Amino acid sequence: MLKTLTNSWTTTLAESPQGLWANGWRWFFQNFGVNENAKLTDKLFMEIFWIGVGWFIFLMAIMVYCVVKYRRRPGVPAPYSPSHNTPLELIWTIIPCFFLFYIFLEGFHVYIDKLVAPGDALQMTLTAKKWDWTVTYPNGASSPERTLIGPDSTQFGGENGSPGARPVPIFYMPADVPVHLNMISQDVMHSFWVPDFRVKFDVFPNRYTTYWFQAKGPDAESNTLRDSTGNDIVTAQGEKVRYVDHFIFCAEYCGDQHSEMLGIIRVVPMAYYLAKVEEWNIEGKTPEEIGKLVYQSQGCSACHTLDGSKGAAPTWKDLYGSQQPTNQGSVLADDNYIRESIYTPQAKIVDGYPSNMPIYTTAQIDERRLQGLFAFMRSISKHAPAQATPDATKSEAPATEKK
Amino acid sequence: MYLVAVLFMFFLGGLAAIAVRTELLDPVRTITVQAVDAQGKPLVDADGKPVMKTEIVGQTLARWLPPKDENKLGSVDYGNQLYNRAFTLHGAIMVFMVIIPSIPASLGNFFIPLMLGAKDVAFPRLNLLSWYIYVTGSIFAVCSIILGGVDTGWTFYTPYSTTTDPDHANVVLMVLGAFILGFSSILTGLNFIVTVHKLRAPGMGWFDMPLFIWAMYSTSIIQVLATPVIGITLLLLCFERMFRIGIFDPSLGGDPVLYQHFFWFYSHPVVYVMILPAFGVISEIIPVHSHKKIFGYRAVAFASLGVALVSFLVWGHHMFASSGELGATVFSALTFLVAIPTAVKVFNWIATLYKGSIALTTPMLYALMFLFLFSIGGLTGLPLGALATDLHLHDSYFVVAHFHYVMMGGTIITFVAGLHHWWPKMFGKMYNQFWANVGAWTVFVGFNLTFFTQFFLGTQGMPRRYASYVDEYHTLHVWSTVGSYVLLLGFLIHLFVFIHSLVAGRKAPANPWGGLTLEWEAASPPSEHNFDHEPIVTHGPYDFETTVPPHWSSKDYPLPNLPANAH
Ligand code: HEM
Ligand SMILES: [Cu+2]
Repeated sequence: MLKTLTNSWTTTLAESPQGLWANGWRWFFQNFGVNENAKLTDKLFMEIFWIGVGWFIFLMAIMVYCVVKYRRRPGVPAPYSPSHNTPLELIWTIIPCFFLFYIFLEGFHVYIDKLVAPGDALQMTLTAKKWDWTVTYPNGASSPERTLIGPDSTQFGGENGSPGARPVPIFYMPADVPVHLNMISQDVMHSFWVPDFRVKFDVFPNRYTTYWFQAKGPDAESNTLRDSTGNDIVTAQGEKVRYVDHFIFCAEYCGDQHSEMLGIIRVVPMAYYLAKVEEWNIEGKTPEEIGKLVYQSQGCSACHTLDGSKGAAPTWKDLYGSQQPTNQGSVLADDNYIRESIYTPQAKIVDGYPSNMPIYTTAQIDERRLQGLFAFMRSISKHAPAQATPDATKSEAPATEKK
Repeated sequence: MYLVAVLFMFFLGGLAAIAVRTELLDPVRTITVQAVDAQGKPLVDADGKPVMKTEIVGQTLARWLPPKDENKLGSVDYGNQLYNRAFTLHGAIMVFMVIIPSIPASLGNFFIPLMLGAKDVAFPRLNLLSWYIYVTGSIFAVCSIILGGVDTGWTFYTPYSTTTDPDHANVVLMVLGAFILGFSSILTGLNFIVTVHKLRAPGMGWFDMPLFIWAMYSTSIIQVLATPVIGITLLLLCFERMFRIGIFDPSLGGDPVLYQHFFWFYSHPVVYVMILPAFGVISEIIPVHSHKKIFGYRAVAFASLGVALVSFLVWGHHMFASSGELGATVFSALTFLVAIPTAVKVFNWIATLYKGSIALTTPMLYALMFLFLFSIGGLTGLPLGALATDLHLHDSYFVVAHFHYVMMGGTIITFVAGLHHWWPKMFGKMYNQFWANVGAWTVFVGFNLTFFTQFFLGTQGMPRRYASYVDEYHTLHVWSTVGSYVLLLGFLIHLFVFIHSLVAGRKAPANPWGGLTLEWEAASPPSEHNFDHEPIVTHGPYDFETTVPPHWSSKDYPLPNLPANAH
């Protein structure tokens, strides 16, 4: 159980439900749909709900009435009544058909909206793997930002700290424009679900599926972004940056940490989104900085630690240049070994760990990023030649720290 | 024999369920607390700020089943692994080893021949064979559990199921277990079809058969037609695992969606294999305990066949979130079609109550409970069948609640109802009605507490098969877990009532409830050849208005005055 984003409920609670049908949404959804389609979905759900309640009460009322009225009295026979009535039976076959047909049509209608993205949507790629998500932005950058889902992380402004929970990725998304995700998995099936958008879709290892959404932006009530010292972040114009967060859950069972495969979609104003994405662009960065970005954004940090503690995979601290015990014998952890471990991870398995590393392609980690990783790993290894780490001191801070 | 085996498996599956709920009561998780010194005083650092440390809490489940490797006790992973194994165990056992065989194999084998007025099923030895196959399959599954368990879910979705568990043994054993159980289903199904065709008592036409027989007949058809598909699928899965033949795993050139199609082509009809026999049992219990002819006999009989037919066409509704628009739309429309015969049946049962003479015996109480729970289950199928809402609700707790209302509220509750209805006939002993009714009410309260909460969890966004969850869901999970303990208590009450009945129960009369079907003519328990002499059918199974039930006198059972135009 993890601490959550209380703010994502409260920002939308103020909104009023749409008409009578939608009453009761509060029990079911807590927050009201955050975009047009989510609202339509809630409305349809509530319609079906009230239809269901109507039928249920009707049937149960008759049942209870009969049970009370016609309870057994000793020595009194059940009075005669016909056991067949064609018109009645026809009526109760046909009337539900109308209801069912209506529900089908409405369901189809809203569904098509969910599937078909507007042509001008922003194109991004989403990759899923055990047990992490990565979004690649149009300029090739990926988000290195993560947070512990816990009240300590400064953005969440809670009471107690809680390092130790799993860091989940935060994906910044621009407000009020359609976004189109092309989704692919690196290992088994996953399913991308943002409950606030009321849509999920499966992610397969062998073909692309798509997902689109348009999220309402933050308003004056929304929380403000803060930096690691707890101060509000302000734009060049001196405005505070506000945001709305939405959870991502994995909805297709995928193994041990399926329930920790979370993510956050953080909706921010377009200008701030553009600034962030530019910040993560690898152009103009040193190899080591690139390596660190890759470590944070491609999900390596989900399993590999940097401080020597044991994660789901070998730590990177002092890994580069050391001897690794594997099922193929002891191996020197040099560039070639690391390259192999990324593109064909099954080749050698380090003793004491499961064969869990997802396969990366050269499209995800290209030569430049690969070189960056080498540089970054050298910088945190005492076995690496000293001259390779001119600014080693800079990257000694744990990578989970916020920027 | 079947009954004992099924009840044992139900017990095992139930234990796993309690384990699942216990983990969710208090998931293993990491939290941060203020460190304290040996005296329990909170520690502060030099600046007076509290010193924090992380702690792993929520070891309730892990403490029951500590790992072999002591170091793992404290880890979140261990908690998750236990949880994943527990829910797979629960699902696989309940589906393949309890619900599918429960009514057909245990009640069907006993009562189909009796209701038809036959000595035994058509092929008694085949029947024995299918029992041995059932036990063999179950032993495979139990071995797999003892060897460390399986964490794939009962659906064994690829490629997860072909890549997890490096030493192959567990998944393959479990899958082979399910494969073997399939043969048991097929043989039972064949046996019933032949029995119904060949062994009806003289005078019994098709439409003089009790509705239980109709339901079992429809079930058998599905079993014989659909089970081979899952057999092949599971075998292919084993091949892929053991010989790396690429069928479903994309890294070998296969397609995981193909597996889903194969799997649900069987597993959807199978949910009707589970529910149709239950419909049959309800169609027996309601007329008998309200001494009323069933309303719309033919409609109920044909609805069974209709459901069996349409059930083959809707498998795609488990895959709305994985495949394209047109397919999903067609499957959505067909899904709503199944709702119609189902609704018709519910209307018929309720209409049967009208002007009856209703006794709230334990079986009747359970039958009414079925109507209540199953209606909720069926109606919550509607937002799942509608495409737009399903994209939100699929693989969430809403689905979990839905299928527990239909499968547990439908099949298990009815199985218990049937058990109480026919217990005197099977064992020749009565049971304590008062305590059985107390048990029934406890089950009812526990059931709703456990599963109704899960609808809300689902709509609020709680995904299925999660070992831990974000805080918002905690309260509802706690209620649900409390409900599951109440449910357990209810079933334990029934267990004691049954044991008490076997040990010290009053001797049962041949026809305690005043039923008209042939089994009530036989002695309780029936003699070796069921009937002393071949029964001849002289009245319909539900002619309560014109027939004094066998072994009753017209003093106990005065007949109503018939209007002149009654047939
Ligand atoms: C009005 C009738 C019903 C409708 C419209 C309906 C509809 C659905 C739909 C659309 C799903 C897929 C949900 C999803 O995964 O997104 C589903 C799941 C399920 N239904 Fe029903 N259903 C009905 C009755 C029943 C009955 C009678 C049973 C069995 C006794 C049943 C058993 C199940 C099971 C076991 C699942 C979940 C399978 C799994 O994912 O493990 N349903 N239902
Ligand atoms: Cu997943």
